[in-house]
Parts: sequence; structure tokens; C-alpha cells
Amino acid sequence: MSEALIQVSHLKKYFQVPKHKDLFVRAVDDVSFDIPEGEIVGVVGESGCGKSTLGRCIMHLTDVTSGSVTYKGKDISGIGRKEMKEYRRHMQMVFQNPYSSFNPRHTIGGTLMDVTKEYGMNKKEGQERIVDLVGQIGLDPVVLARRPSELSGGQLQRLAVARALIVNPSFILADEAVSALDVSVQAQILNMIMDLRQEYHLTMMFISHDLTVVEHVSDEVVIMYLGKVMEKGKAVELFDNPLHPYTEALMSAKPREKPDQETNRIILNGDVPNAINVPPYCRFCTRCRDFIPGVCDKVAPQLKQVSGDHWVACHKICPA
Amino acid sequence: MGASKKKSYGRFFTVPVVISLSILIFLLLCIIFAPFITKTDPNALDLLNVLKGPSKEHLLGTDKTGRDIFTRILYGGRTSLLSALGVVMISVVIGIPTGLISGYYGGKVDMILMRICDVVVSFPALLLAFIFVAAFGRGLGNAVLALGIVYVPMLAKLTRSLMLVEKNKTYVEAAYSIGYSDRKIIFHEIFPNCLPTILVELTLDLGYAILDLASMSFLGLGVQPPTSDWGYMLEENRAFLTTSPLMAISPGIVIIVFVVCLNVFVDGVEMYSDPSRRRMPSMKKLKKRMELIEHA
Amino acid sequence: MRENIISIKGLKVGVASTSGYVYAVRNINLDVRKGEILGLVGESGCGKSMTAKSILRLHDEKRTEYQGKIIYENGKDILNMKEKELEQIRGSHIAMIFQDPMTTLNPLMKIGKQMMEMFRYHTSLSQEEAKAKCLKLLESVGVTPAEDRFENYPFQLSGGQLQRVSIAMELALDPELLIADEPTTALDVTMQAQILDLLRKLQKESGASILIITHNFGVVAEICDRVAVMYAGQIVETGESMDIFYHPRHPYTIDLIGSIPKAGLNGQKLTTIPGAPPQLNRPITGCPYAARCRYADEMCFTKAPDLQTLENGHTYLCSKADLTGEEAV
Repeated sequence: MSEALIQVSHLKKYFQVPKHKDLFVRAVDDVSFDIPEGEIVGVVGESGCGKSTLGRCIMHLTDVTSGSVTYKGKDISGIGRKEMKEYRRHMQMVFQNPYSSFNPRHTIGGTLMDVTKEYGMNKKEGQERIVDLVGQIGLDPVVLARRPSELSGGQLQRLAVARALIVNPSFILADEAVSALDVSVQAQILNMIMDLRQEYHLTMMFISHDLTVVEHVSDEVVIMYLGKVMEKGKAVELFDNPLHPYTEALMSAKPREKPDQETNRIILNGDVPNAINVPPYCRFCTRCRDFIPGVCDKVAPQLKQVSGDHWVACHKICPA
Repeated sequence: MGASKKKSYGRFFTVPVVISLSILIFLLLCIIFAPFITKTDPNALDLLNVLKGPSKEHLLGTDKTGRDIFTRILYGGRTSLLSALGVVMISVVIGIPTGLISGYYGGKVDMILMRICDVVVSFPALLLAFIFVAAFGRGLGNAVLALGIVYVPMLAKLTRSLMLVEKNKTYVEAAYSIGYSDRKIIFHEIFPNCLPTILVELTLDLGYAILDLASMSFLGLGVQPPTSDWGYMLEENRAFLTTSPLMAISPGIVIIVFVVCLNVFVDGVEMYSDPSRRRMPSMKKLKKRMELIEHA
Repeated sequence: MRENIISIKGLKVGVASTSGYVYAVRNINLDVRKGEILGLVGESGCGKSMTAKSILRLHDEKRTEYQGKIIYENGKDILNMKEKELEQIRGSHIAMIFQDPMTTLNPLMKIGKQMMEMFRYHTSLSQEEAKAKCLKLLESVGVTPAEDRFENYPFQLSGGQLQRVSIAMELALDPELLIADEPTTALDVTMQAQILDLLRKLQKESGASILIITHNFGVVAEICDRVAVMYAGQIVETGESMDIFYHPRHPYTIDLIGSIPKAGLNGQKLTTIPGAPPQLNRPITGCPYAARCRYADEMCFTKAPDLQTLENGHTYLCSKADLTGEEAV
């Protein structure tokens, strides 16, 4: 097994509720997992489960409440912005909405050139690098003279990947990078990411609410619910043999691929509960069909290893 | 891929825009080329010809010391416009950075800067300018400086609100994740996106500044004699409103025309920049025009 | 064959935009039959929303130009109706729900009050009758406890709940046709499944027709009886859902279905469609898909494709009559 490039351990991010000193939104609550070098880790969950906040903590876009994020063994969670800059060379990000992730007032070329300048390339090197990259992502260099509003979502998302690759990073975090795209464009981007991954030996974290996409690209998967990891493991195993009731429910909610496909829907009652001052017991118990009275609403389940690399936080699967 | 440069349709030069713009340009040209339009000296006294009505030599008549009103309006425009521009420049230099910084950092910095702005805003603008002039003495320079400061909070608050909208957009987060410095993010990434709205506001401010300066001069706190200025001319000549109305009214009319045209023009710019409000050619015309391009 | 509730004949919609005259919908024919759920599928910018909005004439009429006919059940052409007649139809006969329920609901008005308003406008029910009906409706779409929700403001409800409320409001007057424009796109998968289940259940109970606009083939597989696939302002293929999924005929449909990531194909290459859709501000000569189609020959670029019709009502717009998409399945 390859070594962890990025290690997240006991990461917490609480947001204080305005005007209430003792109320917190526990967006990320004691999350630990590894991102092994060269692999793609998918993080899945419904909106509001804290997956994006988790990404932002890893990328140092927000400070963490406690816990640590390490890159190649070095803790980067508490360091200053200047020191972090050294790590940004290795860690880059691709955002969800391709239209808003580029500055509408700058040309694409200008935006990309700024990155090369920021990382000490001179004008000629920068231009060569950019033209080279634009070729690799399958676009014509004429797009460099355009502004974001003149390009399509697919073209922009390719360019967003190119922007992340300029500094030759070893890690890319993709936050819902294909969610806003049409299926045919989504397929183009996914294929391109897979190709580039080989070429650049990329390690990736792929945040998405779309199980199918995550299943397609990931080597490992982390399932999150209300700021907690419910289940994690190798993608193949987890998708074949989901153990946590929440994972099962998520998978059963996947739309059919064919009209006559049998589905065994597990309907999750109600909504995701309020993330403010969540209970000290299992967070999923209000919607769980395997709810065990007296256990699930008393004790918080710990992530436990069930087999090889498969971890689950559930009283039913791993009785305390 | 289909990334050809898009041509933009829709009319910028609508009737109100054309009319207001041509009047503005006409007035500006007259003011700039005043020495070529009239050979008279705006300050030349002619005590033999005081309070004359319009004539061939004096298009709009003469004032109580025999100075040519038409000439004084042309030259007065220079004073009025330049000082209004000065007011706007001062508010830009202080107000925009204040608003940008206040909005970007938020928290304590924001609170302190905005409370200072609130204090300035809570005084009636002119009153504040009066106090300023009273403390530092009369004169155009002080009036401009005073009004400039009075205009700062409005601009700062506008810039701040634009910043608050922009700073939550993904491109800012992207810039941060690349590792840009705050200065670069504020001025290079965000500011250009606030600029269009700010420019519109500044043009409007220019109009207000002309009016406010006129009021100050009218009250004797701005321009000092013998300099000609639209607002000051109003004050000088108002005593003769009943006897020679043209003399008193004409600088007023010029002020109104200039400010109204400025507002109409800015309105046109705003209309054009919003695709859903932009004046479009009729469907038929548009289709025909597109077909012509296709065949070319 | 069942009767049609709406029959679109030769519809063309042109829109004045800042990029010029946009041929948003180019000559489409589409029937929505009584009691069916029809899916209108396509990628963004293909004109599917334009088509749906045309049925209720929701466009800015100054910037839109219609040609063709949209025949309503009573034989009248919606595109020629007077505004008064159309108002009768909007809401009470044909209703529409949108992607983001937040934009349909007034954020400053309580849910209950908004529902009551609608009854007051369209019916002559008394206050109490209307309230009772509202509560019943809320319960039927699963917004519970109805009494409490009735007194809530929109911001107090989640996205899924709000979408249920907007469905309840649109179904309140027993419309014969419900147009749902991307009703689940803004929702999570778990909520999507619930909303689709709800729509199917309500459709079965009321017997109304539903026209679902979506870019997601998953939604189609979930609930649609019939599908129409749109590309560049044209309907390129229509047929029974099963038929479209198992025997797509049009190359675009074949490619589109192929590009959906499927379970169990971990890491394999997805089918992609090269290039991008044609620009909509130009008339198209030949087949709109020709430039991206792997089967295209010279003729496809010059001659507009013919509509092919198979025995089971499956139609597709392609000059290559012998194509079958079995390989994509």
C-alpha cells in the first residue's frame, strides 16, 4: 500500500452561530482519513454534510477548530499564510461552477499568466507552459484571448483544471468539479482528469454528491453525514458491500440506469436534521431504519474496522 | 470548439442617449474652446454697458458691471466642471480604498471605518462643508476639499457593498487558493469587477458636485470674485431676477441642462449594460441583419 | 392511441438576445398525451425550457417570435389566444413547477397565505374550505405536520420541502397538465428519489399528464413513459422510454446515453461526444449533429435529415435509416 500523501486526523471545524455564544454548527466533527499517494479519494454526502467545508479546511481556505491536516507528514493546519504558499505549489483546487471560478473581467490568458508570474516563471516560460497545457486539455490557444463569458462551461472547466496544473502539483482537490456540467461534457472532463492523473501522477480528492461519478473515478470513498464519517473504504468494496444504513439508503436513491431496472428504495424519512448542536449520539438515528432504541440514541458510534480497509461507524454493524 | 468572438447586439445609442450625449459634448466643446467662440474677456468691466439685454455683441446681455454673461457662462463652466471633478477625485482617492478594505476584511476594521463614515453622513452634507470652510477659510480650494470629504462615505459604502457581493464569489476563493496576496486579490481581482457600478455612481456624483458647488458659491463660500462660476453667477445676478431675468436664469438653465443630460446619459449606459433591459432592434430587423452576416 | 392534451405543431421560437437572433426552437412537433409522463431531455441550451415555456407563453413577448401552433385540448391554438383566455388556462389547466422553488414562492409571505391567495384568485371557496383544502394538499405531498408548515415562511423549510409545497400549489387546481422544469436538479439524490416518487404517485391518482424537462437520463428512467430527446432546438428522437433506452436510433441519443457513468465500469473511459453543439444564432443547413456524429457522411452536412418512423411510434430525425444503437447499451 502506498503511503499517505495527505493525512486528515481528528479534524474539527465549528462555526459559531451569530449572537449565540454557546451554539455551534459542527460542519466537520472529528474527521480522520488518509489520502494515499497516487489515489483518488471520493467524498460523498448530501448537501450540508460538511464535505465542502472539509475540502476548504484541507486547502487552508478557512482555519480549523482543532485537529490536523498533514502533507507528507508535515502539519499544515496551523501554519501561516506565507508558509502555506510553499504548499500551494503542491496542492491545487478545481471548483464547482466553471463560470464563477474565473474572474469575469480578465481574459483566460491573463488569469493563467498571473499564476505563472506568482510562482516565479518569467513571461516566456509562462507562455510556453500555458500553451502547452491548453494543448493537453484539448483546446485551441485562441481561447486564451477570450473572457469567461465567451466560453462554454465545458471549456472553462477544462481551463480550470489547466490552471490547477500550471504549478505541477502533486495533489488536486476537485470540489463538485463536474456537478454543474451536462452529461456529455461531464464525460469529457472525467476522461480528461483520468488521463491527466496518469500523466502527472496526481493524487486527488474528489468531492461530489453524485455517487455514480464518485464510483467511476475513485479508488477510495468516504461517506459523510452531518460532519461525521459514516463509512470509508476501498471504492470497489464499499460499493459492492455497503454496510452503513446511510450508505445503503444513498445508494438505493441513485436513479435507475434503465426504466425496467429493479430498485429497492430505502426512503429516508424527513430531512437532514439541523446541524446546530447535534446530539451526542448517532447523528443518523432520526432517519435510520435499523435504529436500535436505547443504544443509537445514547452512545455515539465510533469508526471501526470491519475488514481490511473498510471502516464503519454504526452500532448495528459493530456492536459496542 | 465554437469559441469565435461574439458580436453584441442591441442599441446603445437610443434617442435619449444620443440627445443627452450630443448636448454634453456640445457644452464641453464650448467650454473648452471658449477663447475661440468669444473674444471678450470674462472679467472685462464695461461700465457704460451695464445690465443690457441680449444684443449682437452680448448674446445674453451684460451684468451689473457690464461683463458679458455669455462669455462668463463659458468660462464659468471651466471653474464649475473642474472643481466638480476635483470633488469627485478626492472622494475616489479616499472612498474607494476605504470601501474595499472595509468590505474585504470585515470585523473590527470594517466597524471602525464604517462608524467614521456614519459620523460624516449624519451631518447634512452642506452643513459639514460650511463648518469646514468656516474653519479653514473661504475659497474654491477649501470648498472642493470639503465637498470631496463629504462625498467619501457614500462612495465608500457603495464600494463596500459591491465588495461584500464580490468577495464571496468563487473566483476570489480560487485566487486565494492559488496563494495571491490580499493586495493582489483586492485590487487586481475584485476591484475591476466593482468598477462598472462605481463609474456610474461617479458620473452621478459629478452632477451632484456641480449642484452642491453651485449652492456653496451661491452662499458665497466657494468661488470668490471676480472668477466666473455657474453657481456664483446665480448669486451675483439673482438681485436682478425681476429686471433682467435672462441674466439671472441663464446660468441656472445651463446647470440644469448639464446635470439632467449627465443623468440621462448614465441611465442609458446602465440600460445597455443589462441585457434584459437593453433596447433591441425589432425581431425582423435582427433576423435580417443576422442573415446578411451569414451571406457575407 | 390516447388523446393529446397538447399538440405542438411546427413550433419555431426566435429570441432577440445580445448575441443576435437566436433560433432557440427550430420546427418541432410534439404531442403530450392524456395521462402520460413525457420527458423532454437535452443538454443545456438545446431549447427544452424554451419549448416548455412556450406552452404557457411565459416569454417576454417583445423579444420572442413564435411560429407554428400549440393546440390545446379544446382545439384552440395557445399561441393565438387572447391574454384573458390564457390566464384561464395558466394555473388551473396547465401548471408549471420550476427548478428552484425559492423563486416561485414569495419569501415574505407565509406558506399558508400563499396557497390561500391562489384559491382566492382562481376559485370561489370560502376561507375555511380553502384552508382545509390547503392542509389536505400539504399532507398529500408529505409536508407534515401540515398545520405547522402552514404557518411557516419559505426560508424555514428545506429545498425538498419547498419543492413539495410548490408541487402542492400547482396541483391544487387539478390541472390537466403539469410542466416540471428540472424539478429535482437542485436537490440531493435522496430527495430527488422522493420527489419523483411523489410526482408518480400524484399522477396516478389524478390522471393528469406531466411534461418533465430534464438533462438527467436517470430522471427519465425513473418515471417517464415516453421520451423526447432535443438537440440544437430540434427534437431528434421520440419514443417509449424502454425503446429509447434499449434501442436508441439517433446517434446523439446513442452517444448521450453512452456518456453517463455506469455502475461497475470503474475507471473505464466514458464515451464522449467530440466538439460542441452548433451556435444557435445561425440557421443550420443539413443535420445539426453532423459535425459531431461518427456516422455522418457528406450528405448529412447538406441535406436536412428526414423523420423516420418505426411501427411502435418511435421516431427519429436521421438520414441513416439503418442505424441501431444496440452497441451503446
